[in-house]
Amino acid sequence: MRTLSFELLPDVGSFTPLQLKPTFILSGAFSGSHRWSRAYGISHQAMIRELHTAFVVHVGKVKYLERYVYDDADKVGVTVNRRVLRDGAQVEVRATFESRPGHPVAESSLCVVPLSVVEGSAELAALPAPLPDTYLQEFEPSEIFHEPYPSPFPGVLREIVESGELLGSYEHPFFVHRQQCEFVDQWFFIESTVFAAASRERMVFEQGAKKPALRRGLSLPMRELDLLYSRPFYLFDQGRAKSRAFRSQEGVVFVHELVKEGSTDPHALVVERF
Amino acid sequence: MVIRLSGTLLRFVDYQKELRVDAPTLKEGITHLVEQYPDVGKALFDKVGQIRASHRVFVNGDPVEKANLGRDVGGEDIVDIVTAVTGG
Repeated sequence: MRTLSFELLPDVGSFTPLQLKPTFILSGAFSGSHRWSRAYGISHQAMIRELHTAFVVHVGKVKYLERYVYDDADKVGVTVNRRVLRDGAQVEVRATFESRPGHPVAESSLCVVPLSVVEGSAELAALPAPLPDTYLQEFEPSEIFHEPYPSPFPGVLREIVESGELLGSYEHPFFVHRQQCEFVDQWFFIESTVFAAASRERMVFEQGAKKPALRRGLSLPMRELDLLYSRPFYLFDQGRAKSRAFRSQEGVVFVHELVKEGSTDPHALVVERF
Repeated sequence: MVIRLSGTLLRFVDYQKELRVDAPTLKEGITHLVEQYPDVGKALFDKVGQIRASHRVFVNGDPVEKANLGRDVGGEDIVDIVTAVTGG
């Protein structure tokens, strides 16, 4: 399986007081996927232009492995690989972030679904479709698999809700600005973590005095983050993070459903473990 | 009727979230919209003038099949035209 390595230089905005922000890691993994594709096959722009193929993120994961704060940060080494799953219906991107060679501080995995872009669509309207053969041929046989992406959903939710003690719940509204969108005015998936974090922090602010355990959502570093995307938000959409906090054997877990105003079906799920 | 477009289509109507259109049927209302904003038509319709599979139409929250676009709509009905997903 081919890998691609590159360096990122984190700055003060890349960190919380406790760790690299999930947005930095997810952004590094996503752009790493584009770098890999460009190095070993075809650029993302050419995929859209010539193969009428684009991608949407369906599942994401971030796992923190080792303490790593701004004071330690000179540079971050990123190593990315990609593999085709379900014979071309999914692509997995794996990225490892190292403080120095042999010292991984975080890892991320993304399940991206290829889309067939509607011919002539300026806004890149698209429908799910397997990768075209032209692009599949760019992968080595060792990078093509029949099995699906090992999504933790929906099992992870059931486990948390059934075995955890509910500590609190909260709802926090959000509005999708253009700064939170991709170039076609569809939200950038990474923003889900920002909307979820805003709701968590507000819950801690409002309820942390009565429920001290909630404050672990700010006082402890995040251990893991799981993301599920069912449908996108768009520019000017108004939504709501419906958040619940649970005490589990491992710590405190926040579950956020991101719903559109007036709807009950979540567009995305964000699970943060502290 | 009031037509509301999903965010990816807003740039074709100069970022108006709601557009009031007077027409007796849904199909005529969409036609009026496209006459006023031709780029919306390029986004919505395929080469044979059918609404693309990548878009959905709802009236007052209920989905409308392509075969039923000729249905009547009233002045206060809310029509949502939604892009299912866009690539990125």
